[in-house]
Amino acid sequence: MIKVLKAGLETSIQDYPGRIGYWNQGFPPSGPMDSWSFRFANVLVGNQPGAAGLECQFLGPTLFFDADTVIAVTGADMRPALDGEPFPMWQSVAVRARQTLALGAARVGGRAYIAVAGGFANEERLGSRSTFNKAGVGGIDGHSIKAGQDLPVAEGRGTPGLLVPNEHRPDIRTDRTWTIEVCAGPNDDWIDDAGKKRFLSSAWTLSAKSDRTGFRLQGPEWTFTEKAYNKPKEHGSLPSNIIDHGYPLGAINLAGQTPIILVNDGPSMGGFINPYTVPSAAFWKLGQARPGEHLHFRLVSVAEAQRMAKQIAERCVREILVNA
Amino acid sequence: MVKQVLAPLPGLFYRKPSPDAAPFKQEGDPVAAGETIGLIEAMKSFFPVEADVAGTLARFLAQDGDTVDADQAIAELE
Amino acid sequence: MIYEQPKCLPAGDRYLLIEFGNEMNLDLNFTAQGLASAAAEAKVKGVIETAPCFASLLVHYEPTLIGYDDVVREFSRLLGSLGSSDDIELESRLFYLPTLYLDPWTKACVEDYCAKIARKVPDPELLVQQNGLKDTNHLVRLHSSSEYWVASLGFWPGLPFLMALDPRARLTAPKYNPPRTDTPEGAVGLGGAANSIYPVATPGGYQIFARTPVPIWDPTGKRPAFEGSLCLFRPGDRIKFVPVSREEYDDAEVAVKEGCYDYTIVEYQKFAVRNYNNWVSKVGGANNARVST
Repeated sequence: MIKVLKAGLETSIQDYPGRIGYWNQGFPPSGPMDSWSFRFANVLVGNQPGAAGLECQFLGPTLFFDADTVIAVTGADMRPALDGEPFPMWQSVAVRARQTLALGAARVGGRAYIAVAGGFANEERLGSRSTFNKAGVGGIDGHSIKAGQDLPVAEGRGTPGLLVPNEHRPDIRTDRTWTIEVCAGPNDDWIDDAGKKRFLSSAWTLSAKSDRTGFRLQGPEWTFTEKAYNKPKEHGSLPSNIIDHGYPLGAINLAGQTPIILVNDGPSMGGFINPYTVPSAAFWKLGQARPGEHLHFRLVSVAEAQRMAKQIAERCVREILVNA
Repeated sequence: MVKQVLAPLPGLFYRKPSPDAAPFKQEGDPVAAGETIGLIEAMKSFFPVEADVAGTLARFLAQDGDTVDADQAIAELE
Repeated sequence: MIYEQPKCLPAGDRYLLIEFGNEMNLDLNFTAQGLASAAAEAKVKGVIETAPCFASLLVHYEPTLIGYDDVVREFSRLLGSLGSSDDIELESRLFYLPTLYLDPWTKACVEDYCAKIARKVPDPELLVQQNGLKDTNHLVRLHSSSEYWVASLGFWPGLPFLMALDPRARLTAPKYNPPRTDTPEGAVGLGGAANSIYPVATPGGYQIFARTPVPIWDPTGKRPAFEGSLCLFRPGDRIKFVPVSREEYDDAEVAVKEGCYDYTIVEYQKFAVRNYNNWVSKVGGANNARVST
């Protein structure tokens, strides 16, 4: 068991790839936003890459361990410490019974991941242990962790002293600027050439009104093609309205003039167009971007986006680890 | 002695509880230990920035609406 | 417009959106659901799931197992095998939901909105005015006369988007502007040409005029009628609202609380689009399955 002393900011149990197969009932996959860092945390402690771990957002938790185990912390730099003694991230570390793990506020990046040998053993809901906080599904009692809770951990065996080499870690930016890959479509033909050019050449500011359901962007106006105005009235009155349709995960959803990137806990359908889609390989960047930072978008083909995802998956394996 | 008030987490810093309200504190105001001098917004939530000691608010180092890092100095108390 | 050739649109590295047309038309939803069910049956390697909507189908695939072009090819082939939408037959469960029309809770909710947010004509009266009905009793009779088709689920897990199958019962209504900040759980509502049931208390924009005491969303996942899911409905189900008295409503509510409520579900029927369309032309539904908004 691990006891929660301080919860941090909506710290939640997630597994990867999450709750898959229920999109047609309105369930998002949930899961870690930066699955690159998440998978490495698991691999470091000897787990399957997708085992249930903790996602810490901006402000980390304080946890009390009642048994010896091995843990790893990856992702955003939250200066983890055991009984007040700082220890390095991106490596497996032995924890003794009755030690306290504390993570602070994120100095670099937005989300850190804690994996424990064996993984968390909370009850599965629809095939996943991931937390969908908004609807109260998965995790512990459906929500992010709370002070006083006991988090069940499965039996596991980890080896301390393993390390993810620098060159295999995601490059978490410190200059407040991110280049995010996007694929065109499904509704890019609703945006006129000037609008497309503006989207791809502007710096978009990530709003603080962003969470695991959607990332709101601030930037220039959108302009539309004839298609957005000349349509049956059941589409709705705004140029960005369309007859309700399914949303892909990562959709850049145009609600009026405000683009919202639909992320891990986002809605499955609705009545706005999605001119571009952020592919899965770029999600880790969204997970590490912070409010007020700038996003630039770079157009890639579907094939290139698929190649990038494959390269990340091939990295997040035990063979990459070295001795610290 | 000058004491700095630090941001508890990264996000956007605000000096006012809402856009139309008056700022929590002006420069020169007295501040009690534990008193809120501003807010930080992240993930659709607002977190108070609290002074950990009492003093007089000498000056703000971050302006309303600024993007701040965790542990960045927000204000100085004397 | 119904597209001669459905449009296949790429959506990132893992999704494909297939559009069948750009209008609200039950036939397009039948095609979307027919294709979803054909895909589930064909178990195409690398296709993870599909989600039908009013006039489109979203496909989620695993690109390490199947490429984009092959997904397009497979779905074009499946669509070809469906033939015309008239030939589609779908497994369709029918749910009977006890419903208290003109109930005190949605009434109180509307009054609260009028007092705090904006004055408006009460929702049942607005529906009467907008649809040329005699009075609210007429509204109840008409609304409860039709079966409703679960076109898709979304916005909230388990929230059904419903379309009246009987063309004579098709009502329309504007949406709230601004939206309500709250809606009673189980409220039945109508916005545009779509009906819905609120699975939990949420903000909302549909006109509300009835309430069902039986859960359509269960985060414990333990009710047998949910068959292991947390949501009662699936796309392609049908719903019939059964008007009940306050006494029957309260009895059902107690039974739900005590865990002994028995859902009335008919599970042995198929929905045949051809038979449906024949029936629609017989009852005089103008323009077949076309839904006006």
